[in-house]
Amino acid sequence: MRNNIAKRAAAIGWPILVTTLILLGWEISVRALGIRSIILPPPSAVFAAMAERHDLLLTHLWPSLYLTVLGFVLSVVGGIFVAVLITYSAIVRKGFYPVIVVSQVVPKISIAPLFIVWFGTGMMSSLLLAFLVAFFPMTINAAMGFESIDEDIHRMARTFMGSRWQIFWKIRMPNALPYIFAGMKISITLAIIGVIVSEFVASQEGIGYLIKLAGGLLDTPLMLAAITALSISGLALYGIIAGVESWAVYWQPPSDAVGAGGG
Amino acid sequence: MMIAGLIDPSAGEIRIKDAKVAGPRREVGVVFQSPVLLPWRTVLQNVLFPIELLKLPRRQYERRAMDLLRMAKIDEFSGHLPRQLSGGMRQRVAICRALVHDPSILLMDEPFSALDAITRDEMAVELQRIWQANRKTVIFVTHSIREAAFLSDRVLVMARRPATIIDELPIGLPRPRSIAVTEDEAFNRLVRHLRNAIEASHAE
Repeated sequence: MRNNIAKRAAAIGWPILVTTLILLGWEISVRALGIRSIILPPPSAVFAAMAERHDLLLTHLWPSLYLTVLGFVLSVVGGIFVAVLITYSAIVRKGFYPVIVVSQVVPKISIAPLFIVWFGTGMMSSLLLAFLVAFFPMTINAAMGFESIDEDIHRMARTFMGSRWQIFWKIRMPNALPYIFAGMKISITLAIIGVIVSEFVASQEGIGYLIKLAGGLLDTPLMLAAITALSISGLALYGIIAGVESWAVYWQPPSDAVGAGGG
Repeated sequence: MMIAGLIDPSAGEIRIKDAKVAGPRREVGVVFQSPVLLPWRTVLQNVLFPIELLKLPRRQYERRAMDLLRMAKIDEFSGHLPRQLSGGMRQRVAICRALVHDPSILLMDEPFSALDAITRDEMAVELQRIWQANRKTVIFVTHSIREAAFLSDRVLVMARRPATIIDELPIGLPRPRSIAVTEDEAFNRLVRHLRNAIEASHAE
């Protein structure tokens, strides 16, 4: 037990130490070299900007986070649904699945301007782009999870006369959970990217809009403050998923990560 | 696998109590080569898995499951997850699972082949003990001649390609048998007989 706590402390302690050293080096070199704040403000100026203008940051952060989470949730629901279809329908598996996989080659971000043309500069475009980029890794991971059933387990369930329905809920679903969470962790980061890019392209609010606006005004501290706020939010969202994962996938030691990338 | 109703026979038919086997049946319990436990279920939940699939009253069978675990000497681990158990313990859980719905036939497909030699001997003694408390017809497939002679009332020797029964040998050794039996001349005579039968089939 004690060993565990020590291990955990070391796991958190080292990255914190490194981050502190980087920030310190950044602060010192900016000051020593006399770099102008427009080019690169010291971390202290960024933190000051965050504290001073937290109202502005939060006003723009909320809509972005809201759309990110909404797009993410839709991608999880949709991804699992399509994965079930892939598992149980030969037509979907043989016809659509390869198309879905190959379509991964298209950088979905490049579709953002097209979405603006179709759905306008409002929330709809951001939401759809977030959904689109988050959807594929979710689908592929969930489908992998449903299909990667040990042949012996399947056989065992059949000797006890398990129905397809029972096999899905009692075996495939729990078996897929680690894969689904791996997909979720990829999807949440991609959903953020989707929303921000769409806000870059055309939007009147959101943290992506604020970053672009601050860039236009050459307000570099505000820009970095917005980026920092965004990163912290992204980390928090990721942390929430990882936390739920360790609770839901209790049977797996935490280091055993499974699943594939995508996006 | 055919007796379990998982594979259809290429010719002929299999009958259990005069009924043709056309698919998985309730009165058959199966133990596979690997324990195939569900990693997200505790030992007790794994043992009760067939009860859930067969939609039998869970409460009633919970006691039976605990009795089986006690008999297999793993009742104190009923709340543990499979990854916390050793290989031999996992296979015991699998045996309890195969027995929980009280089937009349127990099929065992090389159940101890993944275990080390010492655990394997212990498991054979354990199985005999479990069987004496729960009299079932056990069909035990093994590649170990010693194991076959030690456990069986009747050994059927099978040749490969095509898989046919080439010899049948009743084992009359008194029960309960202990591992010490394997040192006896009578036991070794039986083992020699079986080995000769197998070697003869290879020579053809």
